Amino acid sequence: MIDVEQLRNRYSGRDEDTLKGLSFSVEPGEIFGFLGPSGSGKSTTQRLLIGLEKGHRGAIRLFGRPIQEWNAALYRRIGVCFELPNHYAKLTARENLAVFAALQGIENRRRIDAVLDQVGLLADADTRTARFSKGMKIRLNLARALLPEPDLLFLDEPTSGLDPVTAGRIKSVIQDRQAAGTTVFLTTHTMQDADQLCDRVAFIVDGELKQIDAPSVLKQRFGEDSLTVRHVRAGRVMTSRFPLQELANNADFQALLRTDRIEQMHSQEASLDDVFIRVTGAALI
Amino acid sequence: MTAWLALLNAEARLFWRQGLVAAALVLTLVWVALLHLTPPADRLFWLGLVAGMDVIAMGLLFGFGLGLLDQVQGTPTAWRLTPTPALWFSLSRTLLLSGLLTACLLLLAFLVLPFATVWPRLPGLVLLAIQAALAGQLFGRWLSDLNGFILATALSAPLWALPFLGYAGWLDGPLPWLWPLSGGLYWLTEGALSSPVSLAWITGLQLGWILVSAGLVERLAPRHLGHRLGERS
Repeated sequence: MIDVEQLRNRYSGRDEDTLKGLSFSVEPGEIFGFLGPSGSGKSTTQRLLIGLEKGHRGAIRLFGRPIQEWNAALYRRIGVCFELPNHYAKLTARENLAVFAALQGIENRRRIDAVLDQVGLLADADTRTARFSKGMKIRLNLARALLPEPDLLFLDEPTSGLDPVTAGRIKSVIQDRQAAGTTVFLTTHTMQDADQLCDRVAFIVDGELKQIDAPSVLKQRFGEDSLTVRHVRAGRVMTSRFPLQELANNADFQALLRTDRIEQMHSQEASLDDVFIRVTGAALI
Repeated sequence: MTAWLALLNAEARLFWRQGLVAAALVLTLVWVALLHLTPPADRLFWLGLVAGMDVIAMGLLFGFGLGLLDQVQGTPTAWRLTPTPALWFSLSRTLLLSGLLTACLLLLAFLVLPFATVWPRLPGLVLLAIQAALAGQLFGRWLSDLNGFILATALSAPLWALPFLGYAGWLDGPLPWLWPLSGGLYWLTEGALSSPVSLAWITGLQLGWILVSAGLVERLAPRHLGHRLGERS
């Protein structure tokens, strides 16, 4: 679906490449997470993949065809949902989608109500978007991206800054699209989303790919399951963390059990955040 | 075609709901009232001055305002991700904005002067409106904040002002008639009653300025609305 080989990009006036030879592939039907801190090159990569930037070196192939050979017809096959709203504030949700449906060449008017329904905005279809909350605006962005029934969906931070209910709704739409056969390229710095949604994730830091694999594999390879204990020592409440592996032989843990009063104890699976920090040495901001 | 009609429809709603139509109408009626205070014999002269200044002020302000609104709303990014050619966006806005400005100028002219006086000068009003609409779009595409708009308006003022000096008879020779609003203003002096050769020359020059402005809007503006597909890296 997407094949990228030795992708390099440099903005004018910069001494250094923003992207330093990225190579990866996205298979049909998978949700591929592209993870990295702000300024790591995630958005630049996405903008190159969707044809909003030029000047790259290396190869990009979409649907098996080099991106240079694509024309605007590509936009009938992909949908793009940005982190920030992209619609007319003084038009209603339905009017906004009607404009973009016409621009996409979509003649089936029922498609508008269908996508509004998918993202849970049908009841607010005739409300001007200026009155929408942030979550509703992002859902409308997603609805716009879904209009052409895309084979490939690009999502840029789709749950950033949203309340858990709205974020959950968006994640459920993404999973529905995957079930319907859509490939999803998800750009995010929210590891929890990536862990929940993605079949594979790529870690990008300073324009370089550090790892690509399934979240579960990465957690197994680089993560460390642990036991967190809240205990009281000499009247002071303390928290200690021990690796689950070889716990029975851990002298510090055994000493703690003998000497301190245990208040709480729970095991914790390694998170993708921990793996990211361990692999890249960078924190997600 | 459906896409272009949808764009026109969206732009028309935008103009109406953002209050551009109301603002233009109120401004025009204020000018009508003020022009009625002048002696009837002088009204044609004052109409030219007012029409020229009013149209360029509204064109720059509305064009820049719409450009700024586009940036705030993020709509151009979404437009670029559709198969619709970039040119259609500029065309629909130019058509709507110049249409609004032409309507205001016609209202102003017909409420102030007799029909027979206005009729031979109609092309001038249309030329002024198209030029002002494109100049406004140019500002909207090139400038990203209010400070830039104020500076650009101040710096470009001589460009807009010179034709008025020619129109008012304060500057002789061809110099005042070489600038972007000249053709429109020249038509307002004697209109179709002028010498056909002079009219042809100055109208051609005005159309040239319109083409240059359109080219700057469509091709060279930093906020280009086209996508990059089909271009070699």
